[in-house]
Amino acid sequence: MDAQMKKGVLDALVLTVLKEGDSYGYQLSERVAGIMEVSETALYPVLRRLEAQAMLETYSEEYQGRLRKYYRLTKRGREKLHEYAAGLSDLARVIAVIIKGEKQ
Amino acid sequence: MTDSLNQILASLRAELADLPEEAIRRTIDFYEEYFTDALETGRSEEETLVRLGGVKEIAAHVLAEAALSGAELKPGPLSLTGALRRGLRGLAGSAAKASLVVGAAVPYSLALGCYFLAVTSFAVALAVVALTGFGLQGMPNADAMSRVSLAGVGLLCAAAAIAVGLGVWTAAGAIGRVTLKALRRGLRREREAGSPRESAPARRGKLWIAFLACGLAAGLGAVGAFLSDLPLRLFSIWNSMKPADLVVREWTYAPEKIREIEIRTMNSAIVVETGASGEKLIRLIREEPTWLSGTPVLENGRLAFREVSSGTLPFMDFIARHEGMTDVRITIPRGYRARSLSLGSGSGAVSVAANAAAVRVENGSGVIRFESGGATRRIRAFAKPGHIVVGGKIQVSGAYESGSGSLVELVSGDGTIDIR
Repeated sequence: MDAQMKKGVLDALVLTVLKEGDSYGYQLSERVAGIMEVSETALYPVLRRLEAQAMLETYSEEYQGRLRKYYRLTKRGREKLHEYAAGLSDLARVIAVIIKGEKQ
Repeated sequence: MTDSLNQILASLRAELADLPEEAIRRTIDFYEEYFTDALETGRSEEETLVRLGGVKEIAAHVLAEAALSGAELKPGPLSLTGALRRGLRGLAGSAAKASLVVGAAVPYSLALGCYFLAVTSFAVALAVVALTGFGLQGMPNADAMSRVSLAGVGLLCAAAAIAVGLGVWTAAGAIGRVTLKALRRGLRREREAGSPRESAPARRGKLWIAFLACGLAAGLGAVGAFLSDLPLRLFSIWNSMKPADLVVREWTYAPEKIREIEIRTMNSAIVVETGASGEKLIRLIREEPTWLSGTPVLENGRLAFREVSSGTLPFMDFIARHEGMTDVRITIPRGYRARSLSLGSGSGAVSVAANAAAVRVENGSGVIRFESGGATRRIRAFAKPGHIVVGGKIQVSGAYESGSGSLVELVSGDGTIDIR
């Protein structure tokens, strides 16, 4: 997958992972890496951007005597994820056609 | 926190130094937690760092995102907080940048000075135009050529002033642009002002046309100016300046020993006058600047005086000629009449108000004044390329006959005037 396409998909993927439940940085990184091959360093800027756009919010929770920062999807984040999903399903259909055509 | 994590975070902090403190702190917090969580799953800091691609890779991603959003960039290189932060981070770097800003003030004030000079030049051009108009109105008796000549001088001066103003203005703009560019580069701020500007070649083209127009106007003015003797008259006015350090020399002679007097100067004025009643001696008084000298020689009844350069002319001969405008004064007792009086000056004025059987005056470009001294006589005056002015009327050449006791003023441009 090329970098440009990855960047758009990565936003949607982070939102999807967070839809399943709140998560913290390292865990999020592991989950995303489990689904898609992406540089782990790319995650932090994505989280910063999504937070700045109010698609996710953060809260801190104590864990073994230290504070851990958790990320949670906002209402706006859910709406955006819905938009992404609609757009990507269109794309998926096109991609399916391309792959099928290439195989023939 | 472990030592190796501390080291990683410290070097990350250094890489992110260009970001605001808030953004740096947030990034450091995130990665501190990240590394700690990784450690708990059994991954060492070094291992995690390798997976992340290194400190530089982490910083590159953060900085790229900051540059894209623009929000996390510092507000500007000159902001107070930015300067303070830089000062804390590295005194040397900050001092270098501060000195850069101070250093830029010098060429920038030079540019401002140039702008002032340019505006002054334009004002001078306007003043010249106004003065020329005023001068043209104030010469009702002048002929067409003199008017054209005056207008020409005005045009020449105005065009020159405008050309100087344009040149200085352009220089000011260039100095200002180069200074700002260097300052911006020095402060590592590559973002150029994006406002659309006229391209340099287009500007240069317009400038060339403006200079060409000035040159044409100046040429036209010069041609007009030299249609009459106005430039020479202005030259004579300038010519009348005297040097500051003068030595006055004086020689006296018994009148009976002298039959002929011949005075030749380079540019000094020659004044021949009749002395007060009771004066018995012929006096020759000379105002001598350091670069000119002359000693009268009396031989067989002929008194000759010749001015010579001492070889220490200031700057150049041309200026010295102007500076050399001093007086050679001959006082002749009443009733004395020399057989011949021969006077010649490079471009100084010659004034004759004494008796002589024959008077011959040659002059380069100065004024010749002749006063008949009460005796009735015929005066013949010739001026070849020059003009003879009699009571404001100009004769290009010819003879003029004066009445008894009248004052005749003869102005010579470049010609010789013979008075017999």
